[in-house]
Amino acid sequence: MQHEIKAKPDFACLTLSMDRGDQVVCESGAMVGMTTGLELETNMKGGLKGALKRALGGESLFMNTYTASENGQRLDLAPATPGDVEHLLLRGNTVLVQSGSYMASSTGVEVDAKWAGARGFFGGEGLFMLRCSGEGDLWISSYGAIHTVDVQGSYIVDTGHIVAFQDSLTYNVKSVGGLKSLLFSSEGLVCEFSGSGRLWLQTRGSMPLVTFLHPFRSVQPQKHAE
Amino acid sequence: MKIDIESRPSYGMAVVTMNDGDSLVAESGAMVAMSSELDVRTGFNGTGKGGFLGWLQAAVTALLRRVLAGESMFVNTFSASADGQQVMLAPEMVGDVEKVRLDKDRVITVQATSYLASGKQVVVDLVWGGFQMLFSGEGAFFLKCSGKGPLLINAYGAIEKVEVEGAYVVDTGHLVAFEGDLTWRLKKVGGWKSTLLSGEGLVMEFKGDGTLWLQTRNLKSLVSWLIPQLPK
Amino acid sequence: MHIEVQHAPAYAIAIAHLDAGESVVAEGGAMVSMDSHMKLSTSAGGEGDGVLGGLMKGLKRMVAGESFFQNRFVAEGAAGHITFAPTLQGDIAVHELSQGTLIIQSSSFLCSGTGIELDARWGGARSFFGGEGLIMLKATGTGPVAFNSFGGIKEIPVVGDFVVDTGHIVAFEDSLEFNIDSFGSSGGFNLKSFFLGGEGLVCHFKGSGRLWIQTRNTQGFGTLLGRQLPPRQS
Repeated sequence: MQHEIKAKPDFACLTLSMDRGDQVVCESGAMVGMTTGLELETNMKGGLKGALKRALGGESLFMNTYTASENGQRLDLAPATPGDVEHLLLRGNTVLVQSGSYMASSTGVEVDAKWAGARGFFGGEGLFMLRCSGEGDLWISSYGAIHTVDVQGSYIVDTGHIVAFQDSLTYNVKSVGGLKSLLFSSEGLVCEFSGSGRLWLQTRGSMPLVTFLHPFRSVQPQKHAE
Repeated sequence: MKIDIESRPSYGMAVVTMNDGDSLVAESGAMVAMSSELDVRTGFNGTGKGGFLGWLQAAVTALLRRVLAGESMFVNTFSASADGQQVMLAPEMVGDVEKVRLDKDRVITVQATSYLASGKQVVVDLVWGGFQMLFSGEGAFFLKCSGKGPLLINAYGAIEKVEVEGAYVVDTGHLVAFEGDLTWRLKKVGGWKSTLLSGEGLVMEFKGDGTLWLQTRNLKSLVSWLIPQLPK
Repeated sequence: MHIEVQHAPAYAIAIAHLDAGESVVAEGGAMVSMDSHMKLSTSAGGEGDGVLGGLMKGLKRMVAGESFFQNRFVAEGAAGHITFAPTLQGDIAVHELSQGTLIIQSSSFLCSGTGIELDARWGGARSFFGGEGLIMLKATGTGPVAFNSFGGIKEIPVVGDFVVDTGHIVAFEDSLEFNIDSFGSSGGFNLKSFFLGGEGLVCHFKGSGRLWIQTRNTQGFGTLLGRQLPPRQS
């Protein structure tokens, strides 16, 4: 399976060239276009219980698996967010990926959303961390450009800007608290990374966008108790 | 008239340098900046033959375009009285802007929300996409553009051109425009389960020979990404 | 201190490289990452302001749409860096001020060196028509100032007369005269163009000086996207 990332880093999209039998798993709603020799199967992530848990978080429940039934097929995928797409090759190692940044993976990569530390990086229920491990291709997307940092020692990051990191890094999520929390887009949650490993950051955070959009949303009519 | 597109592909803006007598029609809200001597007229997004009935026809067309296609009801016509006068135009959504030069025989079908501006001799007709398009999730109307002159289209995301030779399937939210000897129909992607749950819905299958302009992002996916993160 | 811009022009970030003891002033909510020894101090005024002076400055900034506090990061004990990102997508430009004054649209200010004095002021909007007045920050002093755009930044050397939709103004040099008016007013006020032209307020620039505009406007984008979102409770 060949891949090509176009329109980097602004509105990057992924083109996969697939031959008979090749398979790729991807986020729902990611397909832009495709040739006609591809079959689509939709399954619930993590079985029924896992899917229901996610439904409560408002997240999409389903993963799509595209399988080429003929040679020479083309599949174009795009993430939901304006920004970049990056390819990571896993060779038995583990990478932790922010849930909104997972885009697609080959079938040798295992994606776990139910590991112990999944929640707790981000305020609210919207985002969590996925554990991706195994052998194969992993494509991640970002809101904004992807900024790579090779951590040596220690480094503090606003959690809203985390895309992914190698599990060789130890992490400690702290709440900054008080007035100072106003300075951070993640509502005061920062992550202190230590050790050595690679960290992928995104140059925009979703929380400032959410805050910006707040006054533009219509207001629900209030129900008054008579 | 010279049109340069800057800040591509993320925040495309058309810088139009006009000569004496040139004119450009743009959807309302598109002006970023302009030379102060440029003449601006605001009118209905529709044409009529003249007189009161003509005015009424223009008004009704504009209203239909607003309600059915989500286009702006009014358009601004910028006219230059001397060489070198400039107007800069940009859409509201982030993404690319592309210019297409129309000539006789060339007909381009554009998603209604992707129209930004066009020369006065470009004819823009609202066309019905057929009942099936009501289920496409994207709106049932397209704009058929023909005539002579420049056409400016905008997209959410970058614009990627795909040449169709035979058949190609496209997610409706990613279609910006198409031209050529193409027929299309809506179809299910995978089985019924996939159609309802995959997030793709119904897709458009193009057959024939032609060119598709696609955008590398779609608004529905952006909204789905935002919704779980919104405070109540 | 020097400010480095990366990932321009689409999703630019500003990295402030500080020597030991140096500090940088930034807009709230902008920090992406930093060396662990960076310390932050949050105060209403700048250095040298008394309590009342600081309070007044803070209030003015709040009115201008900036956070009340001037957020100051210090590289304590050793050199270090801190990375800032604006709220929306787009570019960042760094301007070295030595003489002269830069007027920056309030939501475009990102960060500046401590030698820069920031003062909030009204842009003289026609409140009769309501809508967006122009709220601006006046920057004077010596040092770098970083401002961001929603969309791309275009620098325009104004010579003569130029009209810009107010939502697209990022910054301009004080040498320019400006006047906020309604759209379609070139050649007399045009009621139809004002209400229907979709432009609202525009700014007429006269004279000579540099002007920075952005290729997208936040109101249009917010309205378009806000319409697609579920209603909020408050």
